[in-house]
Amino acid sequence: MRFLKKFLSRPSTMAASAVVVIVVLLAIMAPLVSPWDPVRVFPGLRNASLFTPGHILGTDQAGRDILSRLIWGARVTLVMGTVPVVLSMVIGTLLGLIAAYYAGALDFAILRLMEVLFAFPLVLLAVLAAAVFGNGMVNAMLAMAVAMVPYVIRAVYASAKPAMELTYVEASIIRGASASHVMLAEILPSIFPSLVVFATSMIPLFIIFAAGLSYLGVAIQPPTPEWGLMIAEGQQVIQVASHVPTVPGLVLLVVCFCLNVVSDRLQRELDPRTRQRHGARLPASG
Amino acid sequence: MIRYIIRRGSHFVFILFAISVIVFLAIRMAPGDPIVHLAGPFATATQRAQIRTSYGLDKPLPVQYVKWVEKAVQGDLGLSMQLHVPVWGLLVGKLLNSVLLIVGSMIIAITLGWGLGILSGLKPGSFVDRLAQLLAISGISLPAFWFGMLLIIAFAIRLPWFPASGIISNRGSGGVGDVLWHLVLPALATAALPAGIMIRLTRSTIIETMQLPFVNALKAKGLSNRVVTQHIIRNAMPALLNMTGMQAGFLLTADIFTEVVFSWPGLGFQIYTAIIAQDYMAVQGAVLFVCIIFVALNIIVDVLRPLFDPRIRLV
Repeated sequence: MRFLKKFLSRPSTMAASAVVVIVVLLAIMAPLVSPWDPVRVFPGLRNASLFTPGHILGTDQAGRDILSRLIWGARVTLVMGTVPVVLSMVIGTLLGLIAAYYAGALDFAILRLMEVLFAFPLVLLAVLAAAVFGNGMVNAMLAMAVAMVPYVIRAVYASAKPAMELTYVEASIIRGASASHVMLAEILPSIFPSLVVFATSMIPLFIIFAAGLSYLGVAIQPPTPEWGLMIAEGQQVIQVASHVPTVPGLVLLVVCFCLNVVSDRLQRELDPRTRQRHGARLPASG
Repeated sequence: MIRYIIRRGSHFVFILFAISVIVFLAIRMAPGDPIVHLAGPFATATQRAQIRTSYGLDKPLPVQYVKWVEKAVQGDLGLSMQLHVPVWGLLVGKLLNSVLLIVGSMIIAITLGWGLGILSGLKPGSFVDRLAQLLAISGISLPAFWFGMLLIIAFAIRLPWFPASGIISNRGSGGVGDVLWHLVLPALATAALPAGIMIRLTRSTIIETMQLPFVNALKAKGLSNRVVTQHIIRNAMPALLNMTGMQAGFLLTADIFTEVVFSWPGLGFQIYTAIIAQDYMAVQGAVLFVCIIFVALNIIVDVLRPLFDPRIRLV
């Protein structure tokens, strides 16, 4: 509670958190708050402009209510951006801990596998994997998780390997603690805050990434409402109704901006390295 | 040094082998049959079998793989099934276009990233710092494909200053000026994300460097602020170069989104169209091609690093 109070003490963090919470709530309550069915077509109302009565954000190229599609689309886009990060964090953390704990063959195998995955540029790996697994939300999430895992392994390994030499970890090993105890109860808590920071800073990037994959047509298929897909479809009417592709992108931008502000703040509070010096460290993507 | 290069070289071969196997298998696991795509909806079973044989796709997988690698080593990545031209030639041309786009956007990203990052890192909490932070977060939060589209709406449709797509005009004089004119909008759209990341990383690198003991020593010697700043930047240089190299490598395929928006005929766009068309030969060739460049770049950066940072010794 004290943490939360301190966390929200800045007006900018407060505002950004509020936006994120509202968007998440809208997504959860989509059936209750969405004014129309997101796939319902209003035949006479194609490309209706902003503030049309009954359709405050207008309608798209097929005559569907943009606001309703945004609200339903939030479910798809937010889940698609978050699940791969969480999934890859879990898998990557376990593999990274195992590699750090067991020196020898297992360590060697995991690190070699990681190097091979690193040779694939992140975006290429995800696009290729999405194509291999086939279209669809679950497959796209799997693809993004696969692409992210080596980065998590590297981060976990880099901080867990030196932690193996800490006195209290050595003491625990000498005491005869099991491997899982050392990994999960001794090492994991010490690296957990930086993992949380890492994950929260990746979520906005992956939301954009997910929307991008849908935009390219290798993830979500029409007529499912999804922000990236809405931009791609709206592009066809860019000359006559530029609000159709612009509005979903603006929403995407605002949500990711707020998530980034929140993650920055979280980093300053949680990460001991940056707590002192008011600096922001984003894990380099590459 | 020589031992280091040999070790990295053998590493390189192992990684290439692993990648080639993964790519080869992955592309064959993809749903759908490229032959159906290629032969069209009215082909008979015999015709399909004929096409399959002509591409060697009727042979067992290990045989196909060995044949592919045998030829690939000789620089022959096969014929594109969609365009019927050698994949190798196709990719080299596209690579040059991609490099042009990457260089263009990295010039923008370095100017903004290093400039604003150094300014804000030297004076944390100042007005410039806050402005830079705002720009950095905006850059990171901007979806490149949407930003590219906005640029098209604003500067190609509403104000017809720049072309909306492609790399050269169909009519007109052509030449370098024409290409650069086409480059402006895609480079801007591509630069947003690396610029944002680089502002933040540069800033934190500068702040970290300023806390090193040598800075205090210099100040104690009574050197002017300008000279101290020069020393700080020089010390931060290896980290900045490393970060810049990583961003450029990242763009090698991350520019796929802007390439698609602007129909920029680069590597990313090529891979995208090949995947959509299930062009086996082109996809496996292109992915292998990109991975080789990516791994080779990493090794070159590693070997060159001691030039910029005498503290590093390669062993």
